Amino acid sequence: MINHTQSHLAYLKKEKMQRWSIHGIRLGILVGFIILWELLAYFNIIDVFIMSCPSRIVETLFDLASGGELFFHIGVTTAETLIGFAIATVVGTFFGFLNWWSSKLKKISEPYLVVLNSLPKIALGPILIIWFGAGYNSIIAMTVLICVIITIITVQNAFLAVPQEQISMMQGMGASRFTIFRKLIFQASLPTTISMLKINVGLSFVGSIMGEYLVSKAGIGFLIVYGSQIFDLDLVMTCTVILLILAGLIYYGVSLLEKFSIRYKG
Amino acid sequence: MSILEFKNVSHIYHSQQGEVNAIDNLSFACQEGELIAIVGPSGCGKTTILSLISNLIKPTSGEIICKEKNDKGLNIGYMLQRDCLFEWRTIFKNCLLGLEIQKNVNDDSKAYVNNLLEKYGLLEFSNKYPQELSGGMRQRVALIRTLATSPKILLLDEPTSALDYQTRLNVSNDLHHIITSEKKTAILVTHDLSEAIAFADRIVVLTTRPARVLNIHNIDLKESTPLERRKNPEFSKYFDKIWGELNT
Ligand SMILES: Nc1ncnc2c1ncn2[C@@H]1O[C@H](COP(=O)(O)OP(=O)(O)OP(=O)(O)O)[C@@H](O)[C@H]1O
Ligand SMILES: [Mg+2]
Repeated sequence: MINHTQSHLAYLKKEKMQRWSIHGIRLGILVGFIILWELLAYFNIIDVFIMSCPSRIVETLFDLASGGELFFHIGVTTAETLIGFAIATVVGTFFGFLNWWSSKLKKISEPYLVVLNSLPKIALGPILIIWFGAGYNSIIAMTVLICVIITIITVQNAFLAVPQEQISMMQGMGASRFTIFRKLIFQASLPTTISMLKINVGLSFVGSIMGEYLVSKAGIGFLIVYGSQIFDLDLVMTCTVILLILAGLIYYGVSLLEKFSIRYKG
Repeated sequence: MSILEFKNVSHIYHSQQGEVNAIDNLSFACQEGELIAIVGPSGCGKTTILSLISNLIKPTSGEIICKEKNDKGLNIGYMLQRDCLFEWRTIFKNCLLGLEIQKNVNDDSKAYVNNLLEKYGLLEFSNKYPQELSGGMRQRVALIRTLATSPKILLLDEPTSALDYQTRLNVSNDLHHIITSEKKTAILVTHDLSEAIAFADRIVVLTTRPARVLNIHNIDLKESTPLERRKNPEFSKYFDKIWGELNT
């Protein structure tokens, strides 16, 4: 055990206090917001019919959960997100790799990537519905579309950012192109790749909800659209809260992945 | 018998901006066990010479005869201007890189690397990552990584240029010690003339670009280490003479 000096102990204590106060304030804001909302609703200052309120959200949540519907819809949205994420990541990384391998291919594809990247993907919704049908396939296609171009661009840039000097060093040792990729390029761009995955999970989530708005018969996005159509704001708000929780869980999951991959070196 | 010979070698780089004549009709030879320093003004083509020797680029004309050279350039160890250590590998794993590429990792070669690390005071850092080492230590690790594949010829491209002055003198001394005790032939590229005189048996002085041989000097200093050699009164005579040449 390391023996700290008095002043260092005092410093550590202060840091700890600081951390707790930050956690405390964060939690306070959330709780305060919920209480304020509930009170405003209780005293009829806001109209619960269009604003809903925490107690009604909890009630709706229990209704949905007891019928088993809730988990079905969460499952659908999660599955669409993950499948789209996986396809986009694999396909995008593969094309990013090809563009690293062949600078000619990279130059050829550049204008296409630029244009496709700035195209608002939602505009392709109607086409997707016609091609893939009004079901899960269209939603997954939407998710893939949203992620794949930016994945290609990020991956190829990360691969190409590796300093030429390190590549020369390996060439000098007689390394083949593929060995250079395996032992240097891939490893060196791992931090960028991980942060790309982080962004991609978020984007896939956007994609699947967007897809559900357009076509679906199930999923959290579907429930929100359905709720707004029958003017059931309790349902809409409840689903929005569920989305917030899912987004938090996704973020948490990815940071676990990040921690894990940082520990794995070489 | 020379281990390496340049015969009327020229090299021209082609790019969108035009062509750059980097090396022009360069000839010199290097004997086995010799330490040669190549000095010349910045940008004159020194790195190009090393890239040619290690087969990373082909000469535009002329011939490079190297009896140690095979297709893969395996018997040549190239230490670049920067240490190029991989931050995600431990020191030991960094040193194994060349052996891994050549599919030569076995108990013998690992023992050899460990032996080098121990001899040159780095064994206790084996399992550390490069960012935990000082600049001078990193340079020594880079040299051990280069030595691990047992090359006959070592090419050193300004191995000390990224270091501060004091560290530079020490690292230069260490490199010299390691290279002479491992009985290697070495070609050191530098634009630090005093480093070249303290280090080498022979100095090839180059002109400004395109690089041609301006003169070749034999350095006869009896002391065995660069730091000692710097104290020899002859040292400054060599310095003045070559300095004059470089600045005409
Ligand atoms: N890949 C390349 N394409 C085009 N020109 C190049 C290339 N590499 C080097 N050159 C040019 O060739 C000349 C010699 O370069 P080189 O790197 O060999 O010089 P150097 O003596 O090592 O320089 P320094 O002292 O800065 O390390 C420079 O003018 C440089 O601009
Ligand atoms: Mg150079």
